[in-house]
Amino acid sequence: MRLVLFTTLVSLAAACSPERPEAFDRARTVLGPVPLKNRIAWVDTALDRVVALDLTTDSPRVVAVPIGRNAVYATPSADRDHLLVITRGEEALARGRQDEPPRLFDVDLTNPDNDPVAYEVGSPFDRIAVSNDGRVAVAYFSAKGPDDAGFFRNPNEMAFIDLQSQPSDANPILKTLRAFGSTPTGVVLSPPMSVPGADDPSERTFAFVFSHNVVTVVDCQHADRAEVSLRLDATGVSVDPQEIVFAPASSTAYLRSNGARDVLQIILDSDPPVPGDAHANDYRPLLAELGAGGGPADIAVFDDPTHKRWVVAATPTTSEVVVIDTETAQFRRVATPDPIDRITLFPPDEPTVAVLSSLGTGLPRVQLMSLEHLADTLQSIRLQAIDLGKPVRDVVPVPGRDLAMVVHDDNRTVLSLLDVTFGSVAPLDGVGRLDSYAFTASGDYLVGTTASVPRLGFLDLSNLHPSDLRLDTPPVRVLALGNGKLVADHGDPFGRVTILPGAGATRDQSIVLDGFLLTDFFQER
Amino acid sequence: MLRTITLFIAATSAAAYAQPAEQAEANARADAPSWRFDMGSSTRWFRDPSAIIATNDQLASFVMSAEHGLGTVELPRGFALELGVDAMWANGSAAGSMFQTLETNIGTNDLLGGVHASVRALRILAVTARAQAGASHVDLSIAPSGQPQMASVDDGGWARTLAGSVGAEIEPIAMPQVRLGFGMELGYLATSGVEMHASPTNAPDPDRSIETAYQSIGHLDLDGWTLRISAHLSF
Repeated sequence: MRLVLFTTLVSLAAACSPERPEAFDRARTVLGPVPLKNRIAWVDTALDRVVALDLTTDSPRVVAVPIGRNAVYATPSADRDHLLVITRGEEALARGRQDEPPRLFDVDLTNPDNDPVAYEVGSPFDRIAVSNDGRVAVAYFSAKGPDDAGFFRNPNEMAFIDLQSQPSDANPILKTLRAFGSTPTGVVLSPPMSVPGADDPSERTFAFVFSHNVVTVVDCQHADRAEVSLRLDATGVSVDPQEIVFAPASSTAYLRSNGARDVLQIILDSDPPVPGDAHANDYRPLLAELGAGGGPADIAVFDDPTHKRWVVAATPTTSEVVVIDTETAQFRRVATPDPIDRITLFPPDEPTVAVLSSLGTGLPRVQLMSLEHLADTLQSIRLQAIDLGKPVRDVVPVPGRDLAMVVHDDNRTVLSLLDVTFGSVAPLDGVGRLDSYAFTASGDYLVGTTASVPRLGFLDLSNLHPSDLRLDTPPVRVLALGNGKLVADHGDPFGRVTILPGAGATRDQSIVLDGFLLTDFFQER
Repeated sequence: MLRTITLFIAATSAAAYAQPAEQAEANARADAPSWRFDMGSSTRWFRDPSAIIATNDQLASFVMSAEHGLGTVELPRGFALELGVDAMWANGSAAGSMFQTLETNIGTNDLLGGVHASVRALRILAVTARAQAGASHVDLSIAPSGQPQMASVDDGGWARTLAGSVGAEIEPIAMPQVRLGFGMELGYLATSGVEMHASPTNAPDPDRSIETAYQSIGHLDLDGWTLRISAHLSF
């Protein structure tokens, strides 16, 4: 009898095994790679963790930081040291479990041992806009709106998060924007701007929310205050805001919209709030139309050496470029031989030349427009046509140099480099489509990859000398980090990258890191 | 499995109520067989989360062992303890899946040696215990479903192993020079964790490739309860 009892007990013990973590039975996707300053991050949606490759030292280090369930979107912070991740959360489907709300995780990858800060954002937003001072983030729904889960959906809801403060009842602030039958199509955060004449002289970030016929302005530092809606369809014309550029020193924004003939200038001016109204703003937007006169397809803003602010607007329907003095609203029209729809300024910080191109028509030339002496109305604005011989599909400025990479076909198989100082053009032939490219942090090299070719191509931008490095497997994407290192991501779901100490490195100096997305896989709980 | 256990328990229980052994058996102990060979199967229920992550199945093994008798120790009440040293080889595998798109396979080769003790409770029934130590080679592969040749993880390593079990044996044929029977043992096998790396099946030739570091994916630990059913021949 004892034997029977013993045997039965041991049999039962054998039958009792720990349960498998549910994460390993989920469908797995990987978000990323997201390039940060000296790191690269991925988000594993099954294991609910951020995996980062730390390349600050000679030896790559892999760190994993747990986050919430169902990551849907990740973006770097303004300083590119943190990763912001929105998780959708999870509904408890069994007794003993708890609902997990949607959250925004601020993951400090410079201190991965610290727990990420989790802000409960209330709704499963799938986009984040981050201010360039890193203080404010706005979580919102993309144009496709909320996902299928849930009962009611409110695409006009947004969460305003103060990233400098810990989560609390007042952080984040959830806000549903006043709507006129439309839903947001994009959110742009201004650089820090102070409102001239306001009692509160501090610099603040303003969110400009685009939707059909409406732009809504929200003071992100006081998101509990009322938003300001700017109707763009007062004339009965349907208008879709497309692009906004800022002149923060004068608290001014310039808005370009499809369907609008002119550039809309939005000046944020002081307007003392009504006493006792806690939700009243201390500013009001002053609107002015800057006469582009033909439905601008692209705009650019810059300050000349005398600190005068100019807006350049391209109006392809009239084949003109309009240069607008923002102080006086006076403008000069420059007739262009082509319907210009792209303006690229060189150098970006103190521009002296604008490269004007017609991407829509794919004409094989660009125009160089001098930005010097614009204030001298007696002096004509000089245009110089540069014949490139092939259609122009894109113009990409090279950081730190007076060079523009010109893409000549949709597949990016034919390129040229335009020297805007001399107006010279250097054609570049590649082995195939340029699927991914990056400029090194110093701006010395263009690095490119083609998905089917196991090579990294380098172009020394000082003398246009081409070279390449043979890889062991074809890359999917090349990333340039702030410390000069280059990383070729091979797109492996378990993580496979080739790390180069810099452009022009040899195979001996490079290293492949394989399987890092599985790091400590068996110790996951 | 449950049916097997039930039948075995019923058989051993019935045998336990049989008539006591004859005095003649005591005389026969002096001529007990000195060699024994076992062959059977073993099932292991993993206990460590690392193994359960890799597969939610049990490890099924084919087991062979050889044993040499060391002698007999007389116990009170006329019982005798038969001692032997054994060497065992077991080859096992377990398959699983993860992330709905990946197949996992764990393979083991256990090489164990130890002592085996048995006490004959009745003429055809013996109670046994076994303690073993040795090493296990553990292999792991993780590959896309249906494409085992494309495994992103294909690694292995040696683990130290300790095993202990108790069980019962029935020997329907128990002659002085030859015994033939079968038995069942329940036990626990403990292994040290094996560090696995994400080295793929089609890893490039190191002499022709860029220096590659394969990331550690953690320690795979195949601890677990075991159930072994085997047939044996002693002579």
